[in-house]
Amino acid sequence: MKKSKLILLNAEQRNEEDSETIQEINDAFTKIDQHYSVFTPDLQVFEQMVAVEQQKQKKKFRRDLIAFILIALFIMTSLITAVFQIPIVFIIIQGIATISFPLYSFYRYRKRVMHT
Amino acid sequence: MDEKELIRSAKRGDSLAFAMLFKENYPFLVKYLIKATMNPDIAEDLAQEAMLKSMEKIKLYNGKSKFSSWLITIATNLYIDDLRKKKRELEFKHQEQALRKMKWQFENHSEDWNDALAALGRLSDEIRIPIVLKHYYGYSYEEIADMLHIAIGTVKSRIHNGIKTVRKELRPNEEKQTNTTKRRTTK
Repeated sequence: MKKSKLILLNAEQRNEEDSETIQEINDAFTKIDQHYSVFTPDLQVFEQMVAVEQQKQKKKFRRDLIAFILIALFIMTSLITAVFQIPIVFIIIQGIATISFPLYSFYRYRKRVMHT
Repeated sequence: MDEKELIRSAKRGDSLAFAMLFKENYPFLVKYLIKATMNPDIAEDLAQEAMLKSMEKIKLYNGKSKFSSWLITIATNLYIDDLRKKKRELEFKHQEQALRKMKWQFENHSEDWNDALAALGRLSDEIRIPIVLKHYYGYSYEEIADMLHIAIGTVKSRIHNGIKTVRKELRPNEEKQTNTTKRRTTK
């Protein structure tokens, strides 16, 4: 009984010390806030930054789209060629894809579960 | 126009809406980054990087948190990723230099660089950032866990340990005393 009371007191004291420390921490951060004044540029500067970035994003999107279409065309042509020229290769590729996709998603799921 | 309308326009690609949102939140973002990184030199660059990143991700913004909270989440994660990429030792050296510079800037304006500031500067980023978010900005443990992509328990223990470290640095004598009384009571 005595022991638990003492421990309780200790915990209370700790909490008080903690709130004191938190106060000091917040004071320190307030000091930093007051010390550094932030210069905010004009709206035009922000607008220009946004415009440049939007242009970049558009370019990137176009580049990615072209790369996607080219790769898709390449895969399609090679598969179609395989169907007509060497059907066995086509069947093997299809088989590998059917098996590996569920396996891949299973391992990824397990990895995510293990991480959390 | 209020924030929600601005965000709606920004999602449609309106550059003026983006610019207005950024201008409104810029000082908040930079001030947060100064405290989170304790390195005023990189705060503005990081803020700009975060704004650009937010343009890329604006479609993913769901409006649950305030736009400013979303921006500081992006900025914090950019900073943490940056640190991971760089070599640890190098980062440590830079951090020390940045701290010395901050101290010098404070003293130059005849403001005192107190022990609390020094102790906070010495904390590692992954501990200081949750403390800033929790105790200075008042985010909940859950929100912080969400922002930093870590478990709530981790947030709690980092904040607790961080405060303990600062307390020890501020009051080394008291800590010893409480330790001795603790030892006596358990006997």
